[in-house]
Amino acid sequence: MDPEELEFVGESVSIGIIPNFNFDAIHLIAGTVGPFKAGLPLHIPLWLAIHLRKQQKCRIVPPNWMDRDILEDKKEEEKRVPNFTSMPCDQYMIVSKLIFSHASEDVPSIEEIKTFIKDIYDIRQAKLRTAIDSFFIGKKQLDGATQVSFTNLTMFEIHTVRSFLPYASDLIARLERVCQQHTSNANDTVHSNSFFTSSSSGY
Amino acid sequence: MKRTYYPNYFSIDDIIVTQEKIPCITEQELSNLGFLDQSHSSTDLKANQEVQLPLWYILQVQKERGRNQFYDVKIPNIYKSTYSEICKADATAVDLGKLNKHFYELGRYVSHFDRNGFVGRMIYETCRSRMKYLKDLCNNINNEQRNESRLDHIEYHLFLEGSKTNKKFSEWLQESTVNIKTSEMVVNHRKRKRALMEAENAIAGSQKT
Repeated sequence: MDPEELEFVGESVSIGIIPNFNFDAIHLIAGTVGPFKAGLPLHIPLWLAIHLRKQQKCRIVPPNWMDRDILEDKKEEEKRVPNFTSMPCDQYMIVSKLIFSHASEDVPSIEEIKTFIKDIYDIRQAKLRTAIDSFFIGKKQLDGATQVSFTNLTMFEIHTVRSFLPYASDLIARLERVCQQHTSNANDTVHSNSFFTSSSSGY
Repeated sequence: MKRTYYPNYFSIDDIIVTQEKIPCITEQELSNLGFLDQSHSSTDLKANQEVQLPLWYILQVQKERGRNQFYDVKIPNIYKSTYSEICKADATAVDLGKLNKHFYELGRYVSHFDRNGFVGRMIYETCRSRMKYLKDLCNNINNEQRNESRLDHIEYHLFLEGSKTNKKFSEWLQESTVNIKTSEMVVNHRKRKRALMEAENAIAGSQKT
């Protein structure tokens, strides 16, 4: 998926706002939003919050995890643990990007938070890169499997490697099958060399 | 583009791969097949004569090995020990595209004729150590150099795909995308019929008046 599509998916998370206008409840397919009372905080989908924020009709309440101390702890934990840690929000990249670019005044100490989130993202990307590297070259022998853990990886991060990793592993797996077949058949004189059988068996 | 490649009867790539000429030595005299060897004008092929034959032909003739043995198939030079030593030392240093555009696929076919299972192991090991390098190459999106000659055909398509994704994500992170374009997947679905319908209506309207 493209980042724009991921952004679209991520926009459905709910976020707190404080409206400065009065309005009745809006009935949408995904659920009812509102009613809006000036000064009373409520939860609405992020896309609507951004839309209202652009028109200066509300103030966005940053999510709980968008906090200096929590993010600092998270960053330390991410550094310490070899596997991916679970993120406070599955769409953390999308939520923070949208809030930072449209409602930067609503977040206290935004510069520090921005740096922490960028650091966490970079650490996770580096981990992902090492995980994939060990996936490709970790196995020195044909026996013994490599184990790589992708637990807690968020959707956004998965899609940064999705167009490459499965197809690269497919190619490797296909050549591995060829390799195994011919090592096991090395002493055999009978080979199946037919163009048709070899293509239908699909290695 | 189909990114997982499986050879099949209709696959153009597979047809191109099997066009490759493979050196063979005739095992017996073959009458009226002299045209296979362009350098000689004789009508027959003598025993022990070296000929370059396309892979698809060999695969057909060799269907049942041992019973139908006309040619002794040689392993092409690019899969021989010199190159395999280089590949073992540093697979990323080899310009696979220059050796053969379809290095892996051809190797896969050639490994059928290799009794030691040597070619199969070589392409497998080469591919595995090159994939990490290819992934790093995808990350260097600013690097505009042409990599086509250095990569195998499949690798090149993987590279295009990977660098496209990386480019998109870094653009998104830097907020340099202003206009949302129709996603490729949606275009392929042909779901957006409105423009088409409007055009049709305009034509119908003009015909009425």
